[in-house]
Amino acid sequence: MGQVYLHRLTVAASGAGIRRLVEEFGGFCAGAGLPDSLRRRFQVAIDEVVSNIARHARPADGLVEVAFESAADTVTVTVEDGAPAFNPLGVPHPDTTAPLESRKAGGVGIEVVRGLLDEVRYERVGGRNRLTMVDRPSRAQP
Amino acid sequence: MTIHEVEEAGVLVLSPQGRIDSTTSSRLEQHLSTAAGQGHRRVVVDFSQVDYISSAGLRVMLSLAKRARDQQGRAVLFGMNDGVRQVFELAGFLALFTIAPARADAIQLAAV
Repeated sequence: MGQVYLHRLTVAASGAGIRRLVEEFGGFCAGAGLPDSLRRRFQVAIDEVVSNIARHARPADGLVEVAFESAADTVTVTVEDGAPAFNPLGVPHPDTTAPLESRKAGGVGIEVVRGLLDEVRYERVGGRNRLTMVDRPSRAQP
Repeated sequence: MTIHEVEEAGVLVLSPQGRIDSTTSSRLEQHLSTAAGQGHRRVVVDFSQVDYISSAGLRVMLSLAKRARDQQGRAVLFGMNDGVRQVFELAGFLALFTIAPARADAIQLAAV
């Protein structure tokens, strides 16, 4: 895997933007020869992160800037928005062992993202939120 | 996402196709709440043609589980790929459902 693949796009922080991102990521994976298992992990993560931005952060320009990068043994997806500072990794872990009666769906999305990918980090850079998600396709897992 | 519906042995089998995410999960919710309104208490969800599910889809599955419990119904799942199963597992949702190895088992378990 000597080649570097990079794809950047800006989409609306909306359902239409999410549809475009997951479709473009599918094409990116096909072009870079990445496995379906990795494609699915990131498509779930993109849905979680961008739908959160669309619902809660709501940047004034209504946009998210996304980059897909595949280099050496590492795939990185970066999502940036211009909303006020918000670290999604700071939300409390949901109780994933509670009985059905008291089970809530809130907070489950970011928990799934953390578990699916090798590394997720948040930074505030130049007045923007940046979430960086990293995964390694060679890792043996579903 | 398209959703096929069929009734078999008094059990409603829903087969969504594609991805169950923030842009599609409301369609699955509509199917399930319409089915509940029509009195279907025994439901099987066939995941064999689901590419992936995100937490928006898990939210719909959680309301299915709660409805089944409240109405003494059944909610049985089958056919998940490894990625879908992993999302259920990370969210702690595997424990909330009966998961069958195949379609015939799922229908049998839901019919009981």
